[in-house]
Amino acid sequence: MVKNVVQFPVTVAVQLLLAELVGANGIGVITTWLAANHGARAKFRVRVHHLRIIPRAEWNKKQFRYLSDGLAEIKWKHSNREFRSVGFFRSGFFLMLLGCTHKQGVYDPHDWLKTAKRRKGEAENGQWKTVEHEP
Amino acid sequence: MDSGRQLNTNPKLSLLNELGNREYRRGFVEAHATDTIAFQIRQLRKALGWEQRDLARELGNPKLQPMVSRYENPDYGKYSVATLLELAAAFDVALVVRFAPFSELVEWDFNARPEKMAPPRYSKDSGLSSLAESIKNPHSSTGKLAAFGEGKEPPSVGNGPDRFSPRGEFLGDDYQWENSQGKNSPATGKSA
Repeated sequence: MVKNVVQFPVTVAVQLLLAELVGANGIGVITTWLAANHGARAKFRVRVHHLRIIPRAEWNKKQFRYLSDGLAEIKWKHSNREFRSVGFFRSGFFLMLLGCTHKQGVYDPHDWLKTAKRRKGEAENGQWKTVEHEP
Repeated sequence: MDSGRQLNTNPKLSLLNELGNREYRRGFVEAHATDTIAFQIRQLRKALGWEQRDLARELGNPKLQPMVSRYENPDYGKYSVATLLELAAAFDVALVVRFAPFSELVEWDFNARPEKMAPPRYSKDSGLSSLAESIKNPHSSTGKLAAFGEGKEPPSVGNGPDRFSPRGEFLGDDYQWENSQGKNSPATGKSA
């Protein structure tokens, strides 16, 4: 007897959807952070663009890295400075909590990880407004 | 998002607006050049089932594996044309290095697909047999499309009766081809 076999695709492309916290100025924190840096913003767009094309299993830590406490970061480089958008996955979105730069061991802001952890907890408790973000 | 608003701007139009800024344009070009190459090297290697050391071996020295790892880093961006040519030869794919209008790059950005990131190697490039077919049979739809390369005017979409779909597919066979080679021909750049 032939059984009906349901075949699932081997890989399912999952779109990388972005969201960000809304700051006190009513604008997303990442939008504000990158507003004045056009080059870094352009490179962020292209990095996200490529992460969307490549299956998630193929991402490597040079582009996207998991951190502690469920946090992760999208990484890119501009003008010899590393840019990181730190966030976590929530309701199908990568919710970005803050932006941070890194050069020669100096982080800006210096307490980025502590702030990210605090904001993650606050976001989970509904203390922040969030908004979709399209780079 | 649960508590936020939905985006109401078209991301494609937003990109075109952003490109009005010179610094943004520069970053966009730079990122596309370095990111795309790095992602392509990785995707091409994986499509062939190669480890980094296998690619290094194809490049002539298995000890070059750390170099391959660097090539796959989208932030590396220090490839020489000679290196890219060696990689193209190793993958047996073509390499296109040239200056282009922004519209072309934007089109690539809009239409990027995973399969474009890992183009087929020569032996699996079905596009070549389609081209050969179109040369042998120039009156077929693909033949007319292939005639673009011979200095003939491509039909414009949405201009007059629609003979091409928005995706460039040929819709009818009654199209009158412009035979005057010099008329606004991209080859001469002059009007007759």
